[in-house]
Amino acid sequence: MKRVIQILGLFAFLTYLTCFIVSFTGIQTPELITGSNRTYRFDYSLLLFFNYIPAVLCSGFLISFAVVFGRSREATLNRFSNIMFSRYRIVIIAALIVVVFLTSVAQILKPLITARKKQLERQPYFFRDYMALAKQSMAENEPSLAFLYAERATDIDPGNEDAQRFKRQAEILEEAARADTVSDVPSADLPVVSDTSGWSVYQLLQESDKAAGAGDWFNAHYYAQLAVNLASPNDINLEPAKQAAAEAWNRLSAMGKLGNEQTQSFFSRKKDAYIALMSGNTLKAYYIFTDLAGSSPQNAADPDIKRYLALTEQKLRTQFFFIDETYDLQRFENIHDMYFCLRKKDGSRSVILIRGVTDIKSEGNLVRYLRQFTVYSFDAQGRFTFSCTVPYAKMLAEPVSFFSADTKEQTGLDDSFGQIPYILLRSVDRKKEGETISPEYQYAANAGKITDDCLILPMPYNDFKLIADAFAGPEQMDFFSLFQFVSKAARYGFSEEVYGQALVGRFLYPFLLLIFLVFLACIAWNYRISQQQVFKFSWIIILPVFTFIMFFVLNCIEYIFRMLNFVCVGLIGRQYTLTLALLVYIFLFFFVSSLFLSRKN
Amino acid sequence: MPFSIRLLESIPENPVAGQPVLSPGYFRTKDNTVYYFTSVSDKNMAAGLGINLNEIDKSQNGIFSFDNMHLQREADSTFAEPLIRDTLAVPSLLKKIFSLFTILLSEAVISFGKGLSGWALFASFGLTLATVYGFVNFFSWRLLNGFQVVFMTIGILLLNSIYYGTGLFLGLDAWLNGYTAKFVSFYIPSIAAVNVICCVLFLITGIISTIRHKAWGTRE
Repeated sequence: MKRVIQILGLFAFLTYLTCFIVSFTGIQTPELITGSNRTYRFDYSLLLFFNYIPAVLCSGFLISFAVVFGRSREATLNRFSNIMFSRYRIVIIAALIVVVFLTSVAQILKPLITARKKQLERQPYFFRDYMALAKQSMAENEPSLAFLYAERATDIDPGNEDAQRFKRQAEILEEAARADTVSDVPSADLPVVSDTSGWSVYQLLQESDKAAGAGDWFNAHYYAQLAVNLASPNDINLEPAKQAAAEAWNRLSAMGKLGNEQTQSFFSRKKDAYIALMSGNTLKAYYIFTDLAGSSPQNAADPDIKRYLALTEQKLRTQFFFIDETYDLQRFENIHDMYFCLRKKDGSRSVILIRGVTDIKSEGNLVRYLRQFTVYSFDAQGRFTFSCTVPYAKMLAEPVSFFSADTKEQTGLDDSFGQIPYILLRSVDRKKEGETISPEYQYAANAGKITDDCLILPMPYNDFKLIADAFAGPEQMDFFSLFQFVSKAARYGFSEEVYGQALVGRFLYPFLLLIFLVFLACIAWNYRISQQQVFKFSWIIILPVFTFIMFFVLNCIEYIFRMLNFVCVGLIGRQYTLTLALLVYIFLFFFVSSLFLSRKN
Repeated sequence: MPFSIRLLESIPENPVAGQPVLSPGYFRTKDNTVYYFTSVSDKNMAAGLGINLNEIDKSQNGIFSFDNMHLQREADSTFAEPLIRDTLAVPSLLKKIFSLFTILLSEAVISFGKGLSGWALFASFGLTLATVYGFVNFFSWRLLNGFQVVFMTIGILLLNSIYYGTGLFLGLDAWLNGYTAKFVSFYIPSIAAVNVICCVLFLITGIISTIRHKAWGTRE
């Protein structure tokens, strides 16, 4: 056993040494950020090593056992003798060590290192883009944005002195700009509540009374109106809430007549914005509040303006997004040309195509920007009904519980989805009213018209990531993602058989290796070195030939079993394939084990 | 000697009526375009949409819908279903090795048409393959001998494939035939001479190593 491990270790070491020398002397590295050259070459050497190590260890296994069996002094006169059983035990232990190592390499280490190498290759592009954006923002007198981009650039390449210097400059300018803003605008009141969940009618009424007591009639009306909306027709607090709302409204109307003309005009605009907000016209309210806040520092400091502008923006972000959020996003896309389909219970389906996806990681990956987002819908008979296209859409994660029973029924939402993708289709300008990018709809001749600015995708939010991962191909997906995706593949328009065979193949890879290694032990016994033969140094030159042939043999075996897995998955389904394949593998394992145990001198 | 396999029955190029070639509801890629069929009739008329993945078309969104596309089996493909074709693609290493056999197979057909001398010259590598057996006693460790035989077999096939598949030996061919033209009237490919030389060398090596093995009990 010790000798087997020594030979296997030596084989692995020599292979890695070769890969290391090749990686550090024989390859041209692509453009990399400062200091990552060694890491890149190291990753390259590891990937090279991972590519050849199965063939190397299999040939090492064969040679080492041919030596070990040859040196063994115990004679094996009968088939299934005790001595063969003790040798079998050693073979199995050594095979299991090799199997565990190779499976870890294939399933864990190789995908990890591949991802890290890709990341290293992409870093210079990201660094350049962030620096370009930082400089552009600085030129446009936006130091806070410049600092943000410079900070991201220095996160990628901390050793870059130019980037560090630029970041410090941007930081100084940003602090100065912040200080100016702080001195101009007094601290704001806390924003009013936007969501009544967790509040009772009585509590809202108390808040209204409190605001009325302080002479804050906008707040008094706001809370009273929330209480009215929340109260059921039989609620005893409904009537007091209505009275409080009416009282506050009357006060507001009276206040509009106080002061000079300028004050009255300001108050009137503020009230218009408030009315727009309360009537659900969030966009109009937002632009009036923004206009008022931008007209003078005093107006910007007005507690009502600050409070309701914040509330309006909060509400607006659930219906629209700002056009400037999508500037320069394309260069940071992490997924390209993604497509999938969604089926409803009535048989109708939608095909979704996204040309580019940018994840916003700073928000916990819950926000995604979708470039060239397109939906094509078909009825149960497969006829086109409508399509919708928009240059950019914003995807948010919303809990299913957020939607009413009717919406759930109409869109096919299931409570088990947890969070679902909620897509905002319309983007608006941050300052100019009327500048908006809306989705373009096209309809079939007899189809009903839809003009929604939002779209609900009836699928779990996490499945979006799974589909994105699936585009790398079933062989490149990590095992757990593949496992989760297989049962859902057909639902999204992908072949369950294709992903199923990959899953079955990857699941059974260790078993296949184990059987192959025991079979190699049989060959090692038949072709063992003679007891008196000295191991010659010149033979080492021949050993790479072993690896080449083993590489070819392993490729053939993997291909044959891939075809078998596919046929089985197609014929009897994924679950049964696993059971059937396990039975076949167990049979093969017993067969090769018997073959080994029946060896004799 | 090369061998050939013939299909007993070829796959019909035109789909059989009443049997849809492809099932609807899946994305399939062909020529950088993704197709999604929402329905496929018994007469293989499909409705659905196509997504063009070419860079140029992206600016125009690159999506087109259709409701009457006639589906046909790909004439040059073993697989009717692109999903299977992509999944069961032969690994690149195996593909390269199989291509060597394809070269030899097509050369075998050409040589057969040249008559007995042409066929005999081509088949000379079979003689070399037979003498590779002489290496079974070359080393004193049988495992090495086994691998030696396998490796040399691959080497001979590879050498012959390179000869027939590339023009690397043209210079050698010209030199050899310039010299042999005085003695024989037919064209001798240089690989045949290489095969014969290898055959003789392997035979001598085999005889010596077998004699050594039998006479002294050592196998080297």
